[in-house]
Amino acid sequence: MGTLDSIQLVFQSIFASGLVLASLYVLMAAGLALVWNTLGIFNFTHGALMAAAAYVAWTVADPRGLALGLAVGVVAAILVAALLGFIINYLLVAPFLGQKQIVLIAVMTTLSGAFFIENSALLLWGPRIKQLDKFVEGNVRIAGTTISGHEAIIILLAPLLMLGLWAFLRFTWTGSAIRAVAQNRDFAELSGVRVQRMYAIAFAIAAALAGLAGIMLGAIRFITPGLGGEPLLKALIVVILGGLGSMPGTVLGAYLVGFGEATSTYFLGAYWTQAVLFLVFIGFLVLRPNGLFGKQ
Amino acid sequence: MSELILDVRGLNSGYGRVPVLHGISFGVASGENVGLIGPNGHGKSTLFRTLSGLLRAWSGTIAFRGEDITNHPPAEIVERGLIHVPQGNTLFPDLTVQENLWLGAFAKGPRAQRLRTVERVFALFPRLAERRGQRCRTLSGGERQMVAIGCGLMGLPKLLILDEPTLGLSPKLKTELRDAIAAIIASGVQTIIVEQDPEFLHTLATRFLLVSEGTVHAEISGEGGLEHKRIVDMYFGHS
Repeated sequence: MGTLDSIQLVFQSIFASGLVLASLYVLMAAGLALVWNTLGIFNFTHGALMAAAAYVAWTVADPRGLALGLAVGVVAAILVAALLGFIINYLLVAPFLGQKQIVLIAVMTTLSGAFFIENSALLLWGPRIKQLDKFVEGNVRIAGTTISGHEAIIILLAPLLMLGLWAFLRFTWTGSAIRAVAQNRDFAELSGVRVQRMYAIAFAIAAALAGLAGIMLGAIRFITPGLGGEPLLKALIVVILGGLGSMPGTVLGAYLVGFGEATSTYFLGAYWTQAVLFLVFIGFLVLRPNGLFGKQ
Repeated sequence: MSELILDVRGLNSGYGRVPVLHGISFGVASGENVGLIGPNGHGKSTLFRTLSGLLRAWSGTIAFRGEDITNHPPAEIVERGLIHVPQGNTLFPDLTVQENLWLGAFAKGPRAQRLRTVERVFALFPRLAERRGQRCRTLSGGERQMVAIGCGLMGLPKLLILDEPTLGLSPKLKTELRDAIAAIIASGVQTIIVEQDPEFLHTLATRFLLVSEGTVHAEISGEGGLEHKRIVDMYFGHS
């Protein structure tokens, strides 16, 4: 086997695993970015919502739970996640939105919300780790390497959902109103847009996206209360790297981080990858403090 | 005395703990167009923010078309037909002209009629029709002001509040804008217009209020009351 072939093999496996990671990051970062763009806060319950949704999906779907099948479990989990998002917004974010220090206040309130959800999950579902069934069995060959059918679904789902989110924000009245509120809250109110309602809707959609990400992840990794913790950190990098306030930047950031992580894992191993990722990230922010497509 | 479309009584409001409005009272009768003049920083914009529900009234009442709207949600006040075009025409900078106008017609009633209303807005400001696909941040100051007024009209106002529509515009644009506002008034929309230049209001307003130190200090109304000299006297104090 020639060197050319082995180089090709390296790229193929990096490409495949990078694509899977990137797609997961797209799913996770999209909701985070939507809340940041609209409300101007970081929602630290995002990771806990992923875990909660995975647990709900497991309980509804698994034979040891309600045994209603995976499809019902997924739908139920997404609805529960959206509902939780609605409640989180109502209790932990909305009451403080007028304040000057809202960014810091929201860090504290949503972090405590995250601890609350994670520990409630531990109390409700116990410490025994669980795993969701894969959406489909079997493997798929792409670009010369093999990935599981479930991972292929993640790869397809990420851009489709982004397209759906874009169409929603672009073509519906509610979507336009959400973008309007993000750009000029006062003028939106004077146009007759009910701002609090738009915040609640944006928050619930973001939570549903977090829930979906949690479900997809719950079939690859084991479900623990901390399932979303590390991904949340990556999603934060993605959103900041892409440029706060920019959806296209977030998507591009997700693919960059995904492929970067896959490359680093291949050559340096998983052990050093986190450190390298953050180092590159910090270096990048020194050069471009506003991220790829950031404003101001 | 004809019926009041807007009746403000003893209104107090401000920011944080700093009071700006000190028990301001005034009324707008049906068919009237009111010109508001007065120095900067004396509560004109605060008054409008309170009328439109953006700012809480500390005390006092606001009635619009005979119904109390004090501290009602802004969206509800807009739906009733009291529409405030704010100062500084900030708009939604990353949305197109068309999207901005559609959002002006966000409430149910105006939404159903938006196609008809937008034709009226484009007839009034033909330049907006040419620029309908352009993002608002790329527009000139005058064009933004047209979009802002257009958004107000899209909400089918019964009373339209224009807060310094000519701020920073050239004399030529000012004249254009005055003609447009005259056309809006002629179409049956009542207005309250804030303006630093009494000359601009001369042909538009039927009554003038001088707002200073958070209250109505003086007013001129009726026939013969609108001469330039009297307005100047009112503005700078009587000699």
